[in-house]
Amino acid sequence: MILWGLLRGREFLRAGATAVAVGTANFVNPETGRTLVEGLGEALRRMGCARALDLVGRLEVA
Amino acid sequence: MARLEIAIGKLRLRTPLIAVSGIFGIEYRQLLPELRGIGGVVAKSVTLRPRTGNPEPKIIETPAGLLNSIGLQNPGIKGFLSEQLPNLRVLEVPIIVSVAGSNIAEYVRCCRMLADRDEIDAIELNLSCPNVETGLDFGSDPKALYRLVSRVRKAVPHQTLIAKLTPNITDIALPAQAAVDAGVQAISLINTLRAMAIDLQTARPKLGNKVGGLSGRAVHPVAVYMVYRCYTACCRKNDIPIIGMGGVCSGEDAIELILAGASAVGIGTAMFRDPAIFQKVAEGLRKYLEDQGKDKISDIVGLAARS
Repeated sequence: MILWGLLRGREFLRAGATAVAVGTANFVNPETGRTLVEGLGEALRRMGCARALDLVGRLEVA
Repeated sequence: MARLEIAIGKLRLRTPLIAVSGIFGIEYRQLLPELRGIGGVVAKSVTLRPRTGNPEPKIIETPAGLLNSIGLQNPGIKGFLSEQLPNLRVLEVPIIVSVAGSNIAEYVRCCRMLADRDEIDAIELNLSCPNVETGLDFGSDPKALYRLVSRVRKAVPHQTLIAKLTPNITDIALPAQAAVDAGVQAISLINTLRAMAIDLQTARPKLGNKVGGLSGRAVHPVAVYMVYRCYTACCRKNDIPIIGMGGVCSGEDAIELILAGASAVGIGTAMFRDPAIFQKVAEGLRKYLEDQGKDKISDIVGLAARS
């Protein structure tokens, strides 16, 4: 569930979202939000992005 | 013993379980020993001219679902009749042919060619296709849908016609009513839900066509609602049967759609995992009927919609 949330979170940013909301997953694990933030920070570093905003809409559809 | 036979218009099905459009083609011939319990089969959508389909990848898995964008790949109506139809006949169950098109004339010409063939028992109109005149899918434009189905109805007056509806619309009861007004014998729903998945490393959509349609377990509750909506708003009072489909993986899933108002149930994505699913679902249906003290499927159709 956590992995799922993390992957989806980054996927939403790629598609054009500026923020990502977490709802139902909190029923399964109320700490989902914190886990997502940590995972997203690490993913951004790996991708060489300083900020989440750098990822927004960076979907390549050429 | 509870009976599973049902009738939809002139169609007589030995079980209410239909293999939906777009899963298998000539593979049915190889899978024949596994397909006990199958009541009917819908051939993959055919168009007037051959289509090569969309770029690869055409299918990917998602959490609890399958995302596809095939692009109506098919050999065209002539190729279908000569190459694919003989393979479907080995199933010895009613054959329903799905027809797609980009304008009314294409649908009408395809349906006329199919109506000449005795071995075809019904035509399903795939309405999840963009109308070149408007860019809107026929299924999300009730007026265009009515014009299309009326023209086909006049062109093939004796053919059993089924309208397959798209869920990509605010209220699915509106296209359902338009199809019923235009004279179909049944409606089937739901087609896939528009969806997308993105590869994080390449930052590109996973599907060759970028966007596609979602099927599988994830969509089942959407299908249950939309069957219920069509049944209560339109089909019950017009006595038009519904072929319900969307994420059916078990007897329980099929029963749920029937209780919501479906008279028959389509199975699609689950066939990829287990082609022998029809027998299991049929046994689940029969056991449920017997446990509930019912004799036949029609005794439980729409039971969840009673007041």
